[in-house]
Amino acid sequence: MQLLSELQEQNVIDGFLSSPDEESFRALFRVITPRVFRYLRLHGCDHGLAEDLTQEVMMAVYTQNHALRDRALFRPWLFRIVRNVWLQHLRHESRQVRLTDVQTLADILTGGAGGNSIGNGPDFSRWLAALPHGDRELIVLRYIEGLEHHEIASMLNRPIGTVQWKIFQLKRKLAAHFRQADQPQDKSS
Amino acid sequence: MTPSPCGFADVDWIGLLEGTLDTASVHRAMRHIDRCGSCSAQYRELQSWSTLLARESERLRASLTMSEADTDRLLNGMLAQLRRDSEPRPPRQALLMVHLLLEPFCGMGTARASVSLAVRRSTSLREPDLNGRNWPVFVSNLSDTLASVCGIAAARLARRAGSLLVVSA
Repeated sequence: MQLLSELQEQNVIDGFLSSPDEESFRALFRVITPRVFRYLRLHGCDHGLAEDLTQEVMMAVYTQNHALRDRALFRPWLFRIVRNVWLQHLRHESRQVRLTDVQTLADILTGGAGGNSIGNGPDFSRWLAALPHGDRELIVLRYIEGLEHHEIASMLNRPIGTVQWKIFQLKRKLAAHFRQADQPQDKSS
Repeated sequence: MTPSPCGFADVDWIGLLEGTLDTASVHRAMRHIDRCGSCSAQYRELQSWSTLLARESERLRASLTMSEADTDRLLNGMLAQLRRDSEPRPPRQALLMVHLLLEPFCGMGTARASVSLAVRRSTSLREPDLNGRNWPVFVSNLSDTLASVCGIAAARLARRAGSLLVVSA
């Protein structure tokens, strides 16, 4: 099922890159926008801001697609644009002393403030929200967006071995975090 | 979690869990894990966290979605903006935009002189005004002029910005 949707996504991407017109862009927009929106939400943007930045990203995709040299690297290229747009926004925000904090993101993820609830998984969300930005980005790209290691390496311009090692260490951190979280419950029961 | 005392390294775990090992290496690693109690425990634990990560990621994916209506609204707004941007502009308006772009870093005098020189070089007695046909020539001339006066970066900017403008015939 996942393979099928990945194939469909690749077809839509190929269609747009082969002939970037309004029709192919419509199809691409429907496939890609949820990913962009989700990435931005997971980086602390509220619903409205995530929509605005998503629109900015998609505009860049439409107008700059000729700059993409290797079609196979569309996803890293896309997420590099998303990341740049988000960082640009952060720089602008920091000038106005309105940085997104960890609590805001945790609220977004757990449905505390203006976001969708993630049901039974607030602990995972809080763990994700408390991670430093670079670490959270790796988890989001690898597990939530399903990018391959080589795609993440290409997007972040890092060696693939470093990306693999870092993700592995994060998984260990997650294990340690939940083991600690479980301990008091064990004592009480 | 501490590294296994038997020497099974992080790189082996990464290869095994991420599926980047070849078949022979996987068999070798699994034989070791079967025999080694510490690695066996680590393997079970890492696998269970991988499963949890996949499950929670799926849950997050499903919860942070955009409604169909929101997607349509964004898409239609963007397409409307793109259509507006690609409508041909009168040459005077396009020239004004080029002026506005150049003035902040070239200065008013240099911008005016460069544009004026490029216009003279791009028009002729038969075609004394700028239009959609001679606009690409104008952009090229302006870029050449700016390269010698303000440097290659300014020339490149003028070329890119100029070629993005659609000018009516």
